[in-house]
This record gives sequence, structure tokens and C-alpha cells, in this order.
Amino acid sequence: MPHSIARFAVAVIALIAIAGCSTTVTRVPTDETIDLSGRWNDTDSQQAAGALVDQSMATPWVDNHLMEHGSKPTVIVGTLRNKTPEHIAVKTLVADLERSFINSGRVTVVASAEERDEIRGEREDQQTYASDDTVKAWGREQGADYMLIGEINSQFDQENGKEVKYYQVDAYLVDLETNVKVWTGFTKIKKFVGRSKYKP
Amino acid sequence: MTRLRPVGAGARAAGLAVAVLTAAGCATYVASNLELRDMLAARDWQVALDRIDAREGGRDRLLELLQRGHVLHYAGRFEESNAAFQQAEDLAAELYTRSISQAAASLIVNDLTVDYRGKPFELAMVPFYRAFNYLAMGDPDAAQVEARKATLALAEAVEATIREIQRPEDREAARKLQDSGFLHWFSGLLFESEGAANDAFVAYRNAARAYLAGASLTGIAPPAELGRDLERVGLAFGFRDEVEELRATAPALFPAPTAGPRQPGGEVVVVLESGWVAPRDQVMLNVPILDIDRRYGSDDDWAWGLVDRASSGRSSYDVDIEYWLTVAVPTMGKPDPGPVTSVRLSAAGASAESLPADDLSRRAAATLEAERGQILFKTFVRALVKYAATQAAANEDETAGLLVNLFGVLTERADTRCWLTLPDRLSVARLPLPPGRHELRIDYLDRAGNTVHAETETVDVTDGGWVFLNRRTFS
Repeated sequence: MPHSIARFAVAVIALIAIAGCSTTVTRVPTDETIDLSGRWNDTDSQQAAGALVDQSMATPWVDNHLMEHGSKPTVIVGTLRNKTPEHIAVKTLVADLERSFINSGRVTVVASAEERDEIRGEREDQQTYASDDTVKAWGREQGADYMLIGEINSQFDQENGKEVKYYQVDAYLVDLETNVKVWTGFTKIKKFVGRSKYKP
Repeated sequence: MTRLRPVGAGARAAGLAVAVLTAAGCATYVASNLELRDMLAARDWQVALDRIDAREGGRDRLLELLQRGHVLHYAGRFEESNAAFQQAEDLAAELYTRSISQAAASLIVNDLTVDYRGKPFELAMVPFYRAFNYLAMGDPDAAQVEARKATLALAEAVEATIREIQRPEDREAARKLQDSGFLHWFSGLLFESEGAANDAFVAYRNAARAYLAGASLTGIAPPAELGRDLERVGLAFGFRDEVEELRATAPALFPAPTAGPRQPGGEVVVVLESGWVAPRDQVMLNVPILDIDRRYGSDDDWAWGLVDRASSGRSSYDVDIEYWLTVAVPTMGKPDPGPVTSVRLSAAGASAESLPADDLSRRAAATLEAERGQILFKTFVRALVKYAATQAAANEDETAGLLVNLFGVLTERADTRCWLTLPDRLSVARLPLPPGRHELRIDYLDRAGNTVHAETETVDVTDGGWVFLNRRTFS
């Protein structure tokens, strides 16, 4: 009995030693997918934005607008409401959507309401301090034709340390003059999060 | 596990020699942290934070983060509070994975060698405080996220607790902890405040069901205001059938309709957190090892036999007692309700009193009750290991036996860890007010309805708008 207890104690100490850890930091490419907690992250944001813009560009609303107005449509990305139980950096998703729209080359994107306030502040400042040949005029802002709005919903299911996370991002492009929805799209992200029951 | 061998009186003398040292055992977690309550009662937030930071988290890291987030919330440092609570939530999720080395150490030392994982009712309070933090920072969208998280956090924590429990009856008792009428109701109010009527109705309906099912657990009946919420949102947004179904099931939920149509205005909601939650305490149990204990087929069976023996409260036996095991087990201390039991809100010629909404002390007691069998089992497994080690050492050398017994006695401590700064009870007061700026008077009332103290708060009410406040009273 004493021998077995001694062996047991040594094993416990060894396990505790193995469990010790130190902080390490490694630089990784920003496009590398790293999932730690299973929560919504930068990769989800980029994937959702890319998928929504791809869907949007594959539908005829841009061509319809071109035929009707003879110019590229102007879009403002509005609010994407987070209706999940996770804090999602919606601003990152909005920025990803704006970038994807701009990079598509088929759509003009104008500044959001929050950004406009800052820009107008700067323009106001120019009226006093900028030279006449560089000062920017009031009343020449480009109005958006469409607003992109949407929401993020989720369903989580878990049991015995396993969790399935399902996110759905729904987006709508609404004609700002007529309230007509010219495009609706959605993208889904499903994740399986497994947690180990035991560690050393 | 190796079959342990009950042995005779060899080490009994050694046991007696060191028994006197039990009194010198270390103080429990609660005893050594109670001063935190005094610091909060004196509203010395920084002193309390320094006290929390001065103690190394170690196995109590989660408690350190919870209490840090809590004190920062009361100190009005909302962003820092959320950061601490986020760390606590991350750590709680991480601790789902159990450490084998800690579990092994707990078998030879005590349960304090295992990371504290938080009780379900404790972890469920984190979104409540975080929601108020976000509201105070003017971010109602983020508060909604917390509202959605609240009941999920409770269910998740209960599932993790059930995983630790073996006996079906204990698991069943733990399942009753899985829902909270108050958290559903609070979530519903936050949803309604942001115009999410569908989410609000579902939350109110779940609140009603949880209050009705949990009345024996918390002693709290569904608040009358909840019935009005159900009726108002349900009838306005097309859930008439569901409302009628609930009315048929639980007519008491729906008070007599209030007079007149809805007046323009908004509503002030004050959640009162009063007193101190009942802490865990430690009690020493003496349970005999009988000469007939050799009949047990395994040490697990033997430990469960000792659980039954301890639970029976029997003190005399017809067979020979070989040894008295002395073990430390957690028990519930008394809640401290404090002098204030309710609040009265007054403004613009109207007033309203709070109604009880939740009882955290009773939730704490129900949690321990569900865990008790498993805690006793682990305690007796450990006691048998210590007993066998003492006997084995004493067979080799009496001094060695004495030392092993001394180690066993001095390390025998119950796990009384708990989130000490939580309130005893929650109650909710609601006051509809016309649009505009109001001086809201809050009277803190004792059990007899006398004002203990009062304060005024300026609130801006908009038509259809909601103002959420939480107030804490200590002893």
C-alpha cells in the first residue's frame, strides 16, 4: 500500500508539472483561419461579407439600375442588427461588406451616417481655414440609391461539451426612394465546437 | 481504485494525538473573505478592488474575476467591469475541461485543489450585470446580447453541474435549477425596450412558466407585472391564443386589468438587489467505519455506503465500530437579508413599490442540496484514502502513521467557495411616467414599510421608452 500511494503521489506531481504552461506569441498570416472559442470571429465576418456581395453581384439589380439610370448604383451600408447571444463586431462586418462592394467595381459606396458627421465637421473647418482653391463646397454629397440593411441570427445547440453553432446573416438592399427591396440574400455559417472533457 | 482494507486500532492513538490540531486548521474561504462585504457596505470600492487583487487567484481565479467585475460595476467603472466579466466567462468555458491532476490531488488533499467553476446561479448573474453596464454606457444593442445570453448561461452551467453528479435523484434535483423566471422576465423587458416584441413575448412566456415551475425552489410567485406584460405584448402583437392558453393554465398570473387605455409615456424599471447571498459554511461530520464494512465489493460502494450512513444521522450501532472518520463538508450558512426589503418609486404624482423577483440564497441552497450527495461521496473516498494511508504508514512506523494522519487532518477542509458579494434577493419596481424629465424619488423600505433612506435620480422618459436602473443595498 505505501508503494502504491508513493507512485500515485509521483504521478500527481508529474501531471501537475506537465500542466504548467508559459505565454507564447507567434505571428500568423491575417487570412489564416484560427478558431479558439468557437465564437464569431474575423474569418466569419470576411466569409459572410464575401458571400453576400458575391450573391448580390450575381443578381440583375446592378444591371437594372445601369439600364434605368445610366450610372453605377450608389449604396450605403446601414445597420446589421446583431440578434445573437454573442457580441459580434458588426462594424467589422460592415467594413468587410463595404470593401467587397467597392472591390467589385460595379457599385459606388458612400460614407455611413457616423462617418458623414466627421467629414462634415472637417468640411466646416475648411470653410474657415482652407484656401479658396482647395475648400470643398457644401451640398455636393452623393446621395445613396440603396441602403443595405440586415440582421444576424443564430441557433446554438449543445450537449455533453459538444456544441453546434449556426449563424445566419440576412441582408436586404432597399431602394431609398421607393422602399422596394431590390435584392435579398443570406449566408449561413455552421460550426461544431467540441470541448475536451479532461486535460492532464 | 485499490480495495482498501479496514484495520484495527493501530493508529487510533495517533488519530487522537492529532485530533486536537483540527481546530488549528486553516480558515474556510468564506471566513477569510468576508471582509470584502464590509468594504462594499462602506462603498470603499477601491479598497475592495485592492483586496481582490492582493490575493493570488490560483484555483479561485474565477471568483476573483467575478468579484472584480461586480465591484467595478458598483463603482461605475462599467467598461472595466465588462472586461473582468468577459474574462470570467471565458475562464468558466475553459474550465469545462476538467484537470485530471487537480482531480487526483483532490482525492488526497481536499476539493480546494480543484479550480472553482462557479455555480449556475452565479454564472447566470454575469449577463445581468453586463446588461446594466452596457445600458449605462448607452449601448442597448449590446445589452440585448446579454439578455439573450442570460438564460443560455444558466442552462449551460447546470448541464456542466449535472455532468459531475452520479445519482439520478441528485441529477433530477440539479435539473430544477435550469431555469430562472427572473432572468427570462428581465430579458423580455430588455427586448421590449428595443421593440423586439416577438422575442419579448417568448421571454415573458418562458418567465411565466419558469416562475410557476420554480415557485417551490425560490418561494417567489410570478410578479403581477409579468402577467400585464404578457397580456400587453401578447394581445398587441397577435399572440392571443398563447395568452389565453396561459390564462387557462395559470389564471393567477393575470391580475385584474388596469383601468383605461394606455397613456403616452414610458416606464422606469428599478431592480433592487438587497442583502447578502447565503454563503457556504463548513461542518465536521463524524462517521464510523464498522467491522462489517469488509462486505463492500469496491471502495466506491463503500463510500456511497458512508454517504447513506452520514445522511441517516444515526449515532449508535449494533456492531463494532473500528474507526471514526472525521470529514469536513459544506453546509449552507444563513442569508443576510439586510434592513431593506423593497423600494418605492415616486415621480409626477405616481408611485409604485417593488415586488420580489428572485431569491439567490434559496437558489444557492438548492444548488448545494443537488450537489450534496456527490460532495459527500468524494469526501468519503478521500477520507478512505487518508485512512488507508494512515494505517499503512502506522504499520511500518508509528511516527510515520502519526504524520500521515496529521496531514490528513490538517488538509481536511470543505469547499465553501462562493461569490460572496452577490445579493440575497432581487425585487423589481416599475413606474409608468409621462414623457419628459422627472425627479424620481427612490425610498428604500424595511419590512414594516418604513423608509430606511431615500435618494432622487433624474430620469428622462420618452414616449414608449424604458429606463432601467439597478440599486444595491447592503447590510
